[in-house]
Amino acid sequence: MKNFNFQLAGDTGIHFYPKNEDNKYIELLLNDIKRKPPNGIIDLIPSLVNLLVVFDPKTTSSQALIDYVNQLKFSNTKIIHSNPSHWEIPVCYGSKYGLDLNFISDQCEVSKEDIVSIHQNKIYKVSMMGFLPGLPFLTELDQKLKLPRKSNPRTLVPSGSIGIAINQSVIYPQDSPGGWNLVGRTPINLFDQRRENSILLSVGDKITFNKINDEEFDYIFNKNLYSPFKINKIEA
Amino acid sequence: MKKFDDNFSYLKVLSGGQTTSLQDFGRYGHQDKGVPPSGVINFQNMILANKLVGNDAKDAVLETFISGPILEVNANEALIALVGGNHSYLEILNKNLKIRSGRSIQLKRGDRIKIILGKDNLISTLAIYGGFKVKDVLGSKSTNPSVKMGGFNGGFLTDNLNLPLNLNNYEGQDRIVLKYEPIKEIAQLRVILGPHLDKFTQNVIEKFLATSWKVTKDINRMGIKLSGDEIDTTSGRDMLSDGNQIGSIQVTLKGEPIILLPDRGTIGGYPKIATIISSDFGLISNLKVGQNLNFKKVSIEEAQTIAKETRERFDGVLSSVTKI
Repeated sequence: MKNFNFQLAGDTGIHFYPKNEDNKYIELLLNDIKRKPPNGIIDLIPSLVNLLVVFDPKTTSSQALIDYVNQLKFSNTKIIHSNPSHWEIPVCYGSKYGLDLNFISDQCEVSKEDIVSIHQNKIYKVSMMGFLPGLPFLTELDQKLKLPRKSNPRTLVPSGSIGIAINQSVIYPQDSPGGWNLVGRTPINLFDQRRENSILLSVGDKITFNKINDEEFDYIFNKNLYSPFKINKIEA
Repeated sequence: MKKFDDNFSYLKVLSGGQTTSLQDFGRYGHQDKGVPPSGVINFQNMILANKLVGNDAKDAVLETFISGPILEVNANEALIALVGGNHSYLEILNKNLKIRSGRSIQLKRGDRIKIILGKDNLISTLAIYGGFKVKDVLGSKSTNPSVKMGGFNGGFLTDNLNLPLNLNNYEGQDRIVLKYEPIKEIAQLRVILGPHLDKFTQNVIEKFLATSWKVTKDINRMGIKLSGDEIDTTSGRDMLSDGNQIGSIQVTLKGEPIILLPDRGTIGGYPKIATIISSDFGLISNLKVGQNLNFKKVSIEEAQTIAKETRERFDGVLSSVTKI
């Protein structure tokens, strides 16, 4: 059975859409191609709706890749990662770190204390990365915290800020404009060009948030700003 | 005998111009983590410029967008070549010399050069023998100014910046010419429709193909905005973001098409109506602000034939070396 529909993105790209709109299949396809890449693959861009495969037209063709994907069998639909990681990210919630906590509390009719415990009490999945290098889109945010993006985006959101909107959460890897509602900030750099592993996360990783106070934030922030940091990495 | 000393050799930027940056083939393989690849717009121009100065095809080059810099040679000698459009040239300011696109020129210490794009050219490529002494970031020297990555401090050339050169092992280089005709004006780019054909009606797609679009001055390394009749994107408004292919033409909620270039975000939520074929993408370097531009639909099979012919023609140019 063919699991995917496709749309061409020129003669060097194909978007593969799971036929049943089950985005588990996007991750299955991503992992399968990463594990055993067919010839000519240049890049893979997963999103919540499809997987964009970018390829070298000198080495392969759209038809060869479509045929390749069609013959893949996902009998074992348990997702296997080449390198499963579960990260614990420290967060300082509210005050100057999460400027929208009061606003979110009003909009969602949930107390600030409950927002923090709801946001913390979840295991998130990195379902997509983009907008900025190393920026994760975390799915499965609790329905109680569902609200739209800000109508007036901020011109500057500090790096490490954690925002929520729709049913997702994001972490800004660098200073940037941004329209997400800010709940807190992590002192950890998700993206640091000076580090060997310059981008910390990968699509498929799991994340839990761990509440810290101002002093702990400053300690980690100052200690780790210019050196590779260490955080708890829990094997998935 | 060594013609160059081992001392610190560099090009000094006397005037940065608007947007000149160091680029190579690009930082591919990291788009799943949200890293745009960057890299040159016109691969052929980069390969030709490198060939003319005896470099490896992959060596990083200076890509000038919109308006060119003035550079001063701070090395005993340097061999450089510009590849651009039909009217692009290098001006050697202190010698009152003009060197046309597609030729190499030997320079001496103190020579001052200016890159002139010419009226039929948006982007030019300058290669220098040995290339630039710059560290790779994620496997590439390409600059992405919007996220301050790669190149010279992650940005465009700025006044008084020194661009360090790799001249240590230089022992003289033959000058060569290639049978190469610079590209003249481009009025049409060929596209494959999609990926988001379900977000546009048949009428809208036909109108898109029939419209003579104007190249606006809203241009940077992320994209080129076009103006013309607005495209109806009503059915694309609630779209979820997906991967942005370089060369895809996205349509904003205002109905304006934008050609996506190598520094664009890796994902985006605007529907994409068509994608420029790989053989024509580099021709973007020969567009000019204010000109009209049409898109012509081709099939994937036609695009593959065009790609094969384009490669064969280009291989012919590369093997047409004559020493001078």
